[in-house]
Amino acid sequence: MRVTMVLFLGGMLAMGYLIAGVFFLRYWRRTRERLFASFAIALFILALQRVLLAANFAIIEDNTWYYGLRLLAFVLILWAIVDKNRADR
Amino acid sequence: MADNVLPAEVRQLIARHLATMEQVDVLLLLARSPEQWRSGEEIRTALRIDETGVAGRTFDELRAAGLIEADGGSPTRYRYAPANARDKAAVDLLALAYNERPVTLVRAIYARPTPAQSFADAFRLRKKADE
Amino acid sequence: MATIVYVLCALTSLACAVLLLRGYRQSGARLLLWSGLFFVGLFLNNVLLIVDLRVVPQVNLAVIRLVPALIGVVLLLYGMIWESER
Repeated sequence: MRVTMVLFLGGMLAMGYLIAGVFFLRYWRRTRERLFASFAIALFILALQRVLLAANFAIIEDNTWYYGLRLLAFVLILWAIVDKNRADR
Repeated sequence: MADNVLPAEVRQLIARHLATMEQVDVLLLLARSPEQWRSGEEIRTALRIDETGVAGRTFDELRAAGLIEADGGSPTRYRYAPANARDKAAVDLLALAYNERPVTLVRAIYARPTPAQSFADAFRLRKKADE
Repeated sequence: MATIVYVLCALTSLACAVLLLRGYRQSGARLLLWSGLFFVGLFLNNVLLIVDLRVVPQVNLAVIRLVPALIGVVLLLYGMIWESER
């Protein structure tokens, strides 16, 4: 029951991240702000991470792969913020 | 009021609540005589707004922004009712801008940032020189 | 190593939340409210992950962890759908 619930919620989350990523792509197209492209990719990576977790039926993320992906996503977000502030000078 | 830049209070008022010139026109009309209730019909005629839909939407938006109030009557009447002193001061400056720099004001209304642009701007750590 | 990564993720989420909610206060754009709350959810998700793995490893918080992230993403989607136009 627990694993099923985690997989289900994780699946919903993955879908949510995916759609949000698509919206960010739309904002990127409209505003040409690089920030949105970074956020979109970061969200797609987070979605991918959930997919990989489910594919391995793992629910603990204390594993190099998974936190590596999460790290990549957040580094992208951080980079987007830095880039935004540098570019606007 | 110097330069082509409106005062910060006006720009914030626009960013928060004013998306169209109809809203500005209605707001300033009601603000000119703050104690007076006017019906939707009166306002539409005075400002020559032909579409009742546009007028109705404008009234709702200004009410939601906490800038005007409606009585419960039928037909509904509206009155200038800023929610706080800060908004009132901003509207006073808006009226000034309308008289002294109308072109700048119109430009500011239509250059209002989209929600997406506001999102991106939120990540700017240091504000632009004119903010 | 994992803990450091999750702490970084948590702090980044928090920074985004703060910037967006501050931006909401200044500009009144509601999209920033919903997206700010999304990052709050992400922050909580990361914090609970740290708690789950390091503080109470004997208890599995997998479901509890996911809830704030899920609520956050739903709010974000709501904001993106309804508050994207002027």
